[in-house]
Amino acid sequence: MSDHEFDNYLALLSRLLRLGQKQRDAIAGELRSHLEDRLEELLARGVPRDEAVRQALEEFGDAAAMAAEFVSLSGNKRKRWIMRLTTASVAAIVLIAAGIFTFWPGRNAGPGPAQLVAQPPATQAAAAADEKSVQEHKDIAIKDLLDRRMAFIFKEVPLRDLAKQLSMQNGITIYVDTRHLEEAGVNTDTPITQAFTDMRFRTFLDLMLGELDLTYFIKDDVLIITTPESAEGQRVIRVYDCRELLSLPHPRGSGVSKVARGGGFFAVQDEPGEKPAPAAGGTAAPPAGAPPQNVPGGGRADGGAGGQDIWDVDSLIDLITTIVDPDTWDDVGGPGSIAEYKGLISVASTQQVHEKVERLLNMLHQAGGLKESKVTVVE
Amino acid sequence: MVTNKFERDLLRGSLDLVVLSVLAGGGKKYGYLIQKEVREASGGRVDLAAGTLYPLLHRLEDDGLIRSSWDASTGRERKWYELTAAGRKRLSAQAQEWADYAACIRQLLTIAKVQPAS
Repeated sequence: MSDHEFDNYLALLSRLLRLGQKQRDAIAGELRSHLEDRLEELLARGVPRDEAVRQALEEFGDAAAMAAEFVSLSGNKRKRWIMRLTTASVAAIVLIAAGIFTFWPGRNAGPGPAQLVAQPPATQAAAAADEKSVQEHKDIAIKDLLDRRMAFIFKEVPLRDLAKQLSMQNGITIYVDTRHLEEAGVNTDTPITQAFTDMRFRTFLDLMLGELDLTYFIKDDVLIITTPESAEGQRVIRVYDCRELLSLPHPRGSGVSKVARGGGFFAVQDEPGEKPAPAAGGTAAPPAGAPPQNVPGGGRADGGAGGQDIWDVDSLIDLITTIVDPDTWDDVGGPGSIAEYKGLISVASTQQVHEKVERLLNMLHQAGGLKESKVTVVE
Repeated sequence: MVTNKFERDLLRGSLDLVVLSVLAGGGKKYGYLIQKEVREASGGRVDLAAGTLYPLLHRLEDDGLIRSSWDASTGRERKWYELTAAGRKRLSAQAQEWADYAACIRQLLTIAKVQPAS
C-alpha cells in the first residue's frame, strides 16, 4: 500500500542524503514504514485518504531539514574515520621516510653511480611515488573540491559548526578566522540556513559568506574564512607562464582595425620589414606603400623587432586587469599588482583574484587551441 | 483537555533520556511506536517529531546505546530498536542526573519563594 506521495517525498529525501546507497535505502525504508503506520491509523479514524496522506507528510516536515539532520550525523561518523585514516597515513609516511633514509645514497659509503642505479630497488622508487601521490592528492583535493557540485543543506547551523561539518564531510581543513571576524562584528554563532541541492562548492562559499560580508582564501591547504580586509592583506605572488599564449599567431584580419584601415593583411606581420607576412602570402597582393602600417597603433611599440610582443603583453595585462576584479589592481588604488618579464606575468594579489586570473588564462589557452590548454603557474 | 507542550529548549537536553526510558520498558520497539508511547506517557506534552526522533535513534545506535534489527513479522518491514547494556547504564546515570537536577531547581525555587503559576 505504498502511496506514491510517499515515494516522491522519500525519493527527494534520499537524493538529499549524501550517504551511501545502502544507508539511504535503510533510512527511506524506515521512514516509509512510519508513514504507512501513520496513514493506516488516520484512515482507521475515518480521515479521508488524501487528507491522511497530506497530514502524515506534514507531520514529517521538510525533507531538506530531515536530510540535513541525518547528514550531519554521518559527518560525525566520518570524522572518526578520517582520524583513523590520518593516523594510518602518518604511520605510512614515517615508514616511507625511514625507507628512503635507509637507501639514501650518502649513507652507503661511496656507492658507485652504477650501483646507485642498481641497488635501491623498487622500494625507493615506490616510496617516493607514494609520497608524491600523497602530496598531489592533497593539492588536488582542495582545488577540485571548489569545483565539485554537491548538496548544501543547513538549517540554523552556526557558522562555526557549518565550517566543521564542511571540513569533516569533505576531508579538508577549514579555519574560521575568529579574531578578524569578531573585530568586524561577525559572530561565529551566526545561524546559517541555506539549502541547495546541486551547487559548486565555490559558489556556495561565495554566496554563504557573501551574505555575511565575509570571504575565504586558501593557504597551505587550509581554507580560511575571514573578512575581506584580512584576506586582502594576504597577498600571494604567482607567476603565470604566458609565453605560449603570447606566441599565438594572430588570426587573419583580427586586431587589424586598430592598426590600419587600408591594408588589413599587413597588420598580421610578425617581423615588420623583414619578410612578407605569411598570412598575406597567396591572398591579395599587398598594395604598395602599406608596410608602415605594421607599426602597432597608439605608439606603444618601438616599431622594431619584438614590438608586437610588447603590444601583446600589454594588451594581455590590460585584458586581465579589466576582466578580473578591476577595482583590486594598484593602478586604481587596489592591493593587487601585475608585471611582466619575457612573457612571464607575475601577479601579487589575493587568492581569489589569482583563481580568477588562472581561470581566465586557461580559458584563453583553450580558446587559442594550445595543446597544453593550461597555464603554468609558479607559486 | 488542553495540553501545553514543554518548551523546546527544556526538552532538548533530555530527549536521549526520553527515548532510552521508553525503550527500557522491555522488548523491541520501532520508531512509530516509540513516538506514540512518548506522546501517551507524557500526556501529549512531549511530541517527538519524526525529524527529531529518527536522527536521534540513529545517533544513539552509533553510540552503541541501542541496537536495531529489521523484521517484517508484524506484516510490515520495520526497523526495531532495543536497549544495549551500555544504553541501560547510560539511562540509569542520566536518570540520576535528572533527579538531582530537578531537586536542585525545586530547592532554588523554594529559596526564592517562587510559586508556580497554576
